[in-house]
Amino acid sequence: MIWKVMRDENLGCNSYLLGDEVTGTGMVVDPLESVGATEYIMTAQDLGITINHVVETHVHADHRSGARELAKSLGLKVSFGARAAVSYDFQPLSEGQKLSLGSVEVEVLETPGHTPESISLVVRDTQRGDDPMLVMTGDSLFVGDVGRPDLQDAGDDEIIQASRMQFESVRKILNLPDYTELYPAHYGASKCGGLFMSKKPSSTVGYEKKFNFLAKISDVDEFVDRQMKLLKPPPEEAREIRAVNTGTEMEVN
Amino acid sequence: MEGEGNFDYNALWKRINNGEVLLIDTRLANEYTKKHIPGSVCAPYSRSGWGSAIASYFGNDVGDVAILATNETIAKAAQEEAGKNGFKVVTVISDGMNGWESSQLPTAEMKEITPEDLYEKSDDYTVIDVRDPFEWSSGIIPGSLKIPMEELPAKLQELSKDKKYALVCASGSRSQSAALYMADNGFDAGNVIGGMSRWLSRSLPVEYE
Repeated sequence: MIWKVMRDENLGCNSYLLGDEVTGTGMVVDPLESVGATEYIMTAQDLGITINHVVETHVHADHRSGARELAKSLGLKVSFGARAAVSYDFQPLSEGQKLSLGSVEVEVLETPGHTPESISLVVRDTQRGDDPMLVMTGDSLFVGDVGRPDLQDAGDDEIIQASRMQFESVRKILNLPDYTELYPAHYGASKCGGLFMSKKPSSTVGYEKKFNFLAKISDVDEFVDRQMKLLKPPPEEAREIRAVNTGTEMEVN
Repeated sequence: MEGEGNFDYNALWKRINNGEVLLIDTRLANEYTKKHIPGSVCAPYSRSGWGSAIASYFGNDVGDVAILATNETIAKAAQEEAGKNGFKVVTVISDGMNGWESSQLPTAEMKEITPEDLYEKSDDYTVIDVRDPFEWSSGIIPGSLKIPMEELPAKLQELSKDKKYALVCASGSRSQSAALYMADNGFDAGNVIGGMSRWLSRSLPVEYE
């Protein structure tokens, strides 16, 4: 199995290149504009895989996505959770759907909350075993923190609703085996998380279950209450960045 | 970039056949093995020293060169690298095998056969063991033809284009080159992936000399 983390350290963003070297098939998750399409394509080639899927875990509100440019260079469509409100043609993914990369299998979990279309991707290396090996959680569950529910320009009620969904989504991820490695879309000081987001870029489900301040709360009302109290101002350019990433606005000055 | 629209694949095919142009296929080896243009050479593009590697392998006085890539990003990079290393690139195809196949021109295809499949369908295949003679003492697949790699070109005329061949070596690496060579020469040839090591590890039957 091929597994390569491609980061932007300034933004605190993780993107992932994975695949199966035997069949030469691969996938990029949450590609970054700052890394660039060429870098993903060439890195995949150097690792002996072709990129067959370009997947976004959700519409990002804090940084520019490289998904459309990468997909276009490869003649592919970007894959999104089916509920994504983007203006361009995409490949919808829904709960339980499995994408096969040779012996590597990627299963879609819908994990709404941070955004309605948020998904997490559970990866199994069937050459080694049938159980989950790792999960890419997008902005649903971070190392030390959970995704914030307030970046959708929504009203208070909607934010609370989103926070309740986030609670359920976090539970869903934490139902994976404890040893499942956890790879979120952000780490460090990213604006998509809160006070507790760790500078460490990855963790395990078991560790977060035990020590993640919000994720370990077992009561939904307490979770929502805590999350509301911890809200901080949204990133300044969230709306513009979202517009670029959804294709509703072509350029931001 | 060519490879789309009205690109004249027939003209290119003619030039390849006449030895007037060397077609370098930059795709990954497993894509090449699945399907490629007969006579093309497999040289997967890599950012580290691809140009100098092909230059030292072919020499850069090979005349006209055509490049085939799976997308424009790699096509451009390979074209530049080849140019820097003294090659005269006259044609660039950037849509992999798509355009070629839609022009109905010949392709060389090499199948991959797992040892388990081969065992189940052993009546369909003639197995050729391309290992060196000293290696055969570890056991051969029953009924195999024993043709060491370097004797294969001379033995081709004794083989039939109506048969299906499965090529095997110790690990599946030499037999891949051998199967490709046969496929390029118009034979129905597949590579036994994992080779004798996988055959033996699955406890499939062998015979000893």
